[in-house]
Amino acid sequence: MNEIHDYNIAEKVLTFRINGFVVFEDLISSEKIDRILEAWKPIRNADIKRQGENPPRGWGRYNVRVPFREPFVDQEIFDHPAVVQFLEQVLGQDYVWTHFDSNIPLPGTNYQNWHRDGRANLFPEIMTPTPTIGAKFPLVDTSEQNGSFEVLPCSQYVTDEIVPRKELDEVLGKGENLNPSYKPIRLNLKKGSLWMQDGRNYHRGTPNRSSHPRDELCMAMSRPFIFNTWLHEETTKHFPRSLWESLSDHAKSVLRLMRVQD
Amino acid sequence: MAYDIAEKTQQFRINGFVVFEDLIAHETIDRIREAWIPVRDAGIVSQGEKPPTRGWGRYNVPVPYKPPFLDENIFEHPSLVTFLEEILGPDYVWFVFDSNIPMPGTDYQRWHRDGINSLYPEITTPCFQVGVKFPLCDTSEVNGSFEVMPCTQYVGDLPAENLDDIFGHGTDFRDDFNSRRLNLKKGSLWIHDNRVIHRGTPNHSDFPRDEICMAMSSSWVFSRWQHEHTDQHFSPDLWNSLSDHAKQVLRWQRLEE
Repeated sequence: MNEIHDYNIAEKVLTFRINGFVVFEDLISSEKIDRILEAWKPIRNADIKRQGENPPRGWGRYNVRVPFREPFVDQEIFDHPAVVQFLEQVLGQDYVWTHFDSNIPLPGTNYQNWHRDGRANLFPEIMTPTPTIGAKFPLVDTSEQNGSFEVLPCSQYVTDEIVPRKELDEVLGKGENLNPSYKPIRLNLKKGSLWMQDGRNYHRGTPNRSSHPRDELCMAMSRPFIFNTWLHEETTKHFPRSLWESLSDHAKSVLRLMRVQD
Repeated sequence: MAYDIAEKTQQFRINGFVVFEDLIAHETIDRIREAWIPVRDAGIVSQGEKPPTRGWGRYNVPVPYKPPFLDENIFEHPSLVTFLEEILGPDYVWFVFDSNIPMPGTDYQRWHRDGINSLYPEITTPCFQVGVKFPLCDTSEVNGSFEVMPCTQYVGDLPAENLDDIFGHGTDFRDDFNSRRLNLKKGSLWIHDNRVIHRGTPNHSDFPRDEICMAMSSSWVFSRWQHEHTDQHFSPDLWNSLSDHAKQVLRWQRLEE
């Protein structure tokens, strides 16, 4: 693993702890992203077909599971020294990769409701440091044209008791009718960027007015005490043995909850 | 038996453990023990003379998720449900069913805590996992009753891998600290915060001091046991006989095909 990189990790960690998200630009080469996109398209298309027209996130918004295999599982991405240093500082040295999925708004999708991912507070009315991070990378440039994410900075420490989730659209504003008291920002990312998101941060998808799906892959990294429904329910030995054998010790540690094929 | 749950909850939050006396009928305990003896003995034979982690003569045998061990009169007792909802949240879940069995002749255990001690470095949180336990006999200073150090559940990570280095080994207990023996009457059920510091004590009697443990957790805590033991073990007939709430509590168990 190349230990040299140009990111100031202390600054990235500080930005993340304040804003609830942070971007690492140019972490992945364009060629690599293009290769991943090519391999991704048939998987994405097959699962969109399987899920049908009205997936759980509403018309045209798909969450497709990403196979734990190459080219999607890539040590130059998930075990990039800057990513490792960042995650170790934010989640602790024993962090673990628990889930691999995607966000895909198709052309013609509208605004999502404001929401947060997963459980916000572990205990009533108490916010803790983040237990889970979405390490995400789009497979295209994202923009106001193709449905880039919108996030409300610093909202990750607001408990669910302060704003019940079902009231989030009412409080922050639905669709284009934003409540002017709140100042969300659009996250327009260049291809090759990887961003880290505290899932508790208020966020939503925006309309994709382009002619192409706005694919993004998400590696969910957690503190080891966090329960994961997917890991509990999917008990097949799915992780290719040859890929497992090729991994570094640290990569194996990050992927230790995966079930490796015999 | 009516319990003051507010008082029990407060005691638990202060001491790290609490006892519900007379929660289980003696006849129920005796029936469980009769069914348990062959299960326990087979588990002991399979583990051999030196069982893992707990040392000579101290056995942890998994308890089958079936009657008479799995009894809604116990784990769905309304006082217990109210208590657990208050401590762990309304979506709490039962994740492990096992036992503590010091055989005659066992010595002191090391001081220890169960499971995860702290979620975040230097941050102490409310409780997130408990052991709900009931002995199958009276427990006493003769047969190896538990010893606990009240209020230690909120003490964060300690600078010793072996807690005996801090608190003392065996009878050489450092008198800077205060422990209590938990001598329980048959029919009692006690609940402890996994983080409270405790140990087993010598069993000077001539019989095993059996105790059954239902480990209950807040729903967001990862269970290594559940992750590693993926066999479909739970009887569908038993599942279908359960109340909706009992099914919710047992929702992580894997049903037989």
